[in-house]
Amino acid sequence: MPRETTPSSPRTAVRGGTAPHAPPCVGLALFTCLEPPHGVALRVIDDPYAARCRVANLMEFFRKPIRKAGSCHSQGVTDRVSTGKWRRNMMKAPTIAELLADPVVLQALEKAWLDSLPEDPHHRHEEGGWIYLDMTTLEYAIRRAIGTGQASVDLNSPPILPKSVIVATFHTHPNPISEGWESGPSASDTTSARLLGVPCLIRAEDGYHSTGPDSRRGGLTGVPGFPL
Amino acid sequence: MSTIPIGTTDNLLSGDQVLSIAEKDARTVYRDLTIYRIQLALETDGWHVDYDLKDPRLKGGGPHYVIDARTGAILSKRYEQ
Repeated sequence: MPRETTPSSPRTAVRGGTAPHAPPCVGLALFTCLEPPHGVALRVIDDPYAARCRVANLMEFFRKPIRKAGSCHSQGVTDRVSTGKWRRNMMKAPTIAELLADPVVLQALEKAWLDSLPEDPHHRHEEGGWIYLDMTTLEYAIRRAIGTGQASVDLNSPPILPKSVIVATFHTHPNPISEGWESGPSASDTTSARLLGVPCLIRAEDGYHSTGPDSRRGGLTGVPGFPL
Repeated sequence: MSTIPIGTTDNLLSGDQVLSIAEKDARTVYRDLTIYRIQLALETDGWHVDYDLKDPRLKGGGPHYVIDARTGAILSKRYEQ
């Protein structure tokens, strides 16, 4: 069974980590002074996040980049199909590398690691949870599952947070390598991540691992919770 | 490690015998084996015993063994989590 793993040192990741939060909105003022592409009607957008996305898309249309690549989750991808109609945007979800560089995500992984009692041979167990991206604030939110299994955790039923989508799951591998355990993702971890459609982040004794898609399937569009 | 010639099945351990060998080891390492489905296959390098999660959406893993088909010795094992 093929496996994908991206181990990295927690210390390195923390030291080099920077918050990839989106900068304050820079596009709202520009929005009103831009002429829309031919055939596209402007609409009043009350939601600041949606407005930012639309402005980013318009700027990309005019080939005037307004942000550094990878610095903003709302980086839009626009296209004009051969019929001249405007294609629906696919907003980019954070990648595994971006998630593992965020202090909120790292803190959640470390908290889960401590709670999984890796030093206790009789009570060590897997902990895990879900990483959400709030579509209005572009901030991450963490929710934890109830972890009880020594070598498994059920992340199938996440709570639904308003205006948020799940961009990754995370869990721990607390059983030690010295006793013959593998620290990286199992075949089931990979299968599960592909089924659920979001990256799977793992905290083990030798650092971080990941498997599954590099970012949420289908981008930030779709239903709350896992992508369809 | 013994290699099993094709068509030669005399004196080979049965699936039940191999399963008990694997389970004896698995029970010492994993606290709960009820969440796994067991796959047993006789390959040229021995019996393969794989504990896979019944629910494919669960995160986790089980033990995996290759057991000598004649002696019952565990040739290799992996503990997934």
